[in-house]
Amino acid sequence: MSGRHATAAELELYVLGALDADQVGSFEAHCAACDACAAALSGEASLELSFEQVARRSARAVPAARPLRTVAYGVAGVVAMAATVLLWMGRPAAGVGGAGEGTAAMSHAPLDDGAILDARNDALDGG
Amino acid sequence: MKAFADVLPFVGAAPRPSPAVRVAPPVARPPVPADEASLCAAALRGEREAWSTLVQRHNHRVVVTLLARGVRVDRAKDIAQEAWMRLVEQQRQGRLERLQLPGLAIAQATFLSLEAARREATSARRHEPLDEPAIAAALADPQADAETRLVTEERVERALEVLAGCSVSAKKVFRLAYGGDGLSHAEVAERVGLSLQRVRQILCEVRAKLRTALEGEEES
Repeated sequence: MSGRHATAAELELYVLGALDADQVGSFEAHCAACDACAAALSGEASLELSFEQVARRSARAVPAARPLRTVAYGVAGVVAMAATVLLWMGRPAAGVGGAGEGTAAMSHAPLDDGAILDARNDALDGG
Repeated sequence: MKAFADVLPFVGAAPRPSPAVRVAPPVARPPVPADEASLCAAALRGEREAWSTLVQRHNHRVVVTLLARGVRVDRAKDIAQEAWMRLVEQQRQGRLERLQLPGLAIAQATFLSLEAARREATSARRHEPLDEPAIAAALADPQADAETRLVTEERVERALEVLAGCSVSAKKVFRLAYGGDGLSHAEVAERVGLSLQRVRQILCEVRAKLRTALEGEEES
């Protein structure tokens, strides 16, 4: 390529490290001797460094959002699972107690794992 | 220089050659650790293979930095080679406690380029005292030249907006290629499960989009 200037594609491929190995030698020889191509190569290299700046900024922005979202999903999942288990365990106990005071009291009292388990065991023993 | 080429044969090679053109290492050699931390640790112990792999991995980045500072390509390659040689020498003398690449090699190469510019300026002053423009040009700090071309915050923001509009895979490829881990395009292709050709195609597409944002006129 000694007789012509470097093309934009060649400049880009060289800076990317993707120019064909058999073209690199003549490309470098031309850019070492030609002021215009040396300046163009310098500009392309400068742009390459700018891309790194953009990539770093971009990468910094991504992980900031992820952990919060992950934690939120995790907490919501645990709460939903716990609620499902408690509801499943509590349903037979309410049925055994009948429609008397016990049911009313249970529906307003805070959830008590021990009491729920006792009621469930009583129901199983009675059945 | 010849002795150094024996130690680090990749320094003068073409930038980041694709795996297809790389020469496979002889079978008898022990496997070189792939991750950067292991490589640096091995290089600090003086393992030649580790140094060769690190040079092969990071040399192109050092050369590109010098090019961006306005150094001619032939000179940039020489300076990069000298920078690696000095790092190896420092390690051999036990003066290298940590190895963070490519930053350390870039710093060394930048120092060498500034030193060369000052030497040339001194020489110009001695032999051509009346050629003031030549002296001024030689004295011009390459760093200052690069700084004038550094993108402004506004342009970076514009580029980030453009990048946000790219596809998920394009963004991933871009971040891996430019994220500072020194990954070759082949390594990026392996990580994202695409061909090397497709990765380079994506990079060219993203570059074309970002180029407009980074090179555009400053909004007043």
